[in-house]
Amino acid sequence: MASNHPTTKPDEKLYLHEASGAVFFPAAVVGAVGILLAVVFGLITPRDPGVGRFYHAYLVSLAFIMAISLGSLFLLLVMHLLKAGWNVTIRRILETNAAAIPYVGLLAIPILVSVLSQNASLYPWAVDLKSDEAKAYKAKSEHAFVVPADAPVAAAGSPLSTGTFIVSADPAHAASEAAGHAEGQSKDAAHDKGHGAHAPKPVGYHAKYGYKDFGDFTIAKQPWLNPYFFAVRIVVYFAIWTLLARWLYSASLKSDQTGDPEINKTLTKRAAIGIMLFALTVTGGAFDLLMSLDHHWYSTIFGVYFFAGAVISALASCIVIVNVLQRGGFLTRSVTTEHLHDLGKLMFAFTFFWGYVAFSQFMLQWYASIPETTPWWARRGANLSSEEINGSVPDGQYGAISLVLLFGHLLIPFAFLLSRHIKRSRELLLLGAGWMLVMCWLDIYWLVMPELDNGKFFLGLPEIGAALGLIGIFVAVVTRMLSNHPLRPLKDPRLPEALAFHNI
Amino acid sequence: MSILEQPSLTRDPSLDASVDIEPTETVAVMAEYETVQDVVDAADTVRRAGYTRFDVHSPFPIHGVDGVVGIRMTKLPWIVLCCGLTGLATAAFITHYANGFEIPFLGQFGGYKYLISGKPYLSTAAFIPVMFELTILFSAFGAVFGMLLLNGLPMHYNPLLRSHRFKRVTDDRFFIVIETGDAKYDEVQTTQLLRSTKPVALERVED
Repeated sequence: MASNHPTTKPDEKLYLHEASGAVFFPAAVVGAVGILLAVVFGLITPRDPGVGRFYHAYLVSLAFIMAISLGSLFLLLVMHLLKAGWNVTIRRILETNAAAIPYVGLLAIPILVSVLSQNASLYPWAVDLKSDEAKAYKAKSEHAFVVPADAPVAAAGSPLSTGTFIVSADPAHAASEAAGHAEGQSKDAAHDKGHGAHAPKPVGYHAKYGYKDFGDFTIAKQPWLNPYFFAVRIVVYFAIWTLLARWLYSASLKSDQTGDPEINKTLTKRAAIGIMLFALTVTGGAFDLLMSLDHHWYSTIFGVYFFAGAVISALASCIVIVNVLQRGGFLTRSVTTEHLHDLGKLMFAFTFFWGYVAFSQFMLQWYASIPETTPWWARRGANLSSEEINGSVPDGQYGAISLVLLFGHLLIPFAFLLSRHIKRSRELLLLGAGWMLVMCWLDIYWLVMPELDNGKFFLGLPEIGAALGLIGIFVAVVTRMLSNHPLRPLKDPRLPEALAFHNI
Repeated sequence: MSILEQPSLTRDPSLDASVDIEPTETVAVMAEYETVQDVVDAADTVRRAGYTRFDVHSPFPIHGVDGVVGIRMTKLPWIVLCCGLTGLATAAFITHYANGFEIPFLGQFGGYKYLISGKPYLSTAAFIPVMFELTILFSAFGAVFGMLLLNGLPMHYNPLLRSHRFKRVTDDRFFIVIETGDAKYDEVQTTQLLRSTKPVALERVED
């Protein structure tokens, strides 16, 4: 059968070489300028909430490029594990994205610096617990988790209203109001609103960290969430990801020379180990880097949430890269509408998967309405009201972004990508992929930024600078790596299958 | 195994031996081929000649054959979409109506407000799982039953099953069957056309 399907097709450029400069240099310049912007406006001349602004802005885009790499790594692992054939012609793009993970690891050094300097500018738990300030805090907030009676009751008219709580550090105050607690629900909303807005800030509130202060939970979680162990874990995660990505990449490059089917068998075995390591490390990475921004909040599905977004961004970036290459005359014959159609199908499926996970995460916490988890949602405006909730006054913009994500990350792409016609149209699929990349970035922005200064809205030069900077550097790195090797595997035993691939 | 240069249109001899089934009329003409390439080429010829009511039968799926036979995209996705939206609307109506409204003059059908977990009566977030599940359920029904409907299933009898020759379609032979109901059908011309595609056998299908 192999003779029917030639392994090389004519009129197709498979090597990027010097042509990569057209993307590499602009991306490198944008990257450098962006990083400079973020550093100047976020770090050297710190704005409103101090250097934390820079670290939060930086973390958003770092997690975004990490998501692209990890999503690509996951797709590769699954494809090798299932011995998929259709994907061989787009595999090198995924491999390059995944193999860029050590560079992402290098870019994560500022995060480690922030944590190890123990100034709590990024992670509120990252402090020296032996310092006087911390001891004073600990003493003040010993009774921090008492739910008082004056907790505003959820506004009955709002479909997304959360149960809300005020954390009070004054047990006497809480006790005196406890008797009236039963009547709390019958109070009219206007009265509650007024009461909440003028209530004095309970002890334990901190201008910088809001209620993410030191308390029993912080102490209890300290064996896991302490600067040194955190740094060790991050290094281990990146080491494992680098090992996996480089394993797959180097084996695939070796297959370019020999076409030995044994290499594919080895890859399948490595993928079986890799997929287990991947599941554990991605969950851990998401917990540590993103979830611990509010160390009181927890969501066991959070790793899956990050993973779903990661796979979408990997598929979307793969579609964008294929389009850019093909416009330059590369890979024009190997990657056909059929491959793009399948990438579109996967992107559609994971878009819905993301929505499923996001809603699962929201609904359980909305229903349970427990004090550790509701402030996280309140900061994101999930109650769609401007009331003060747990000391934080949502500016409203994060609530708007929550709605943008609901429509822009789930409902609109779902309806858009549902049609076969759209998935098979290069321009429309490219539009969908570009849109999903923006939404994936916004999703991580929405996870990170509301944790800065307790729900105040920030979107300015540090955030945009960090995004341009890190994405620019990532694009430059991927372009440089792509230019060194053929753009698709040359002698993979499943290459003929991929070239002849056809959707029914 | 002899390949006839000019196979003549034959009748399945076993039809004569059957006592209880009386052949009444020719419903189709069947041509038999030995390879995928032969049957695909032949189907292409038949389609170009303007026939629409014909089909290719094969022991396994042939990539691209739907284009050659001229099969258009199925309408099934639209049926599934309509069913899914119906499910969504049904669930949205039932949950919101049953939980959030009390219409006094409708008696027991007027519903009653039911406070759950201190949440608002109209808590769309709580209803989304139901809306999701009903969307999926209706879509699945639409997909399965729509598929059966569009394929004309279940069909317990097909005149082709009476042909002994046709049994090899489950093993190693490929067939083109042109129905006599086709607007372009003419026994002489159709037979001639099929003969030009070099089949190994030609046979009448009687019912």
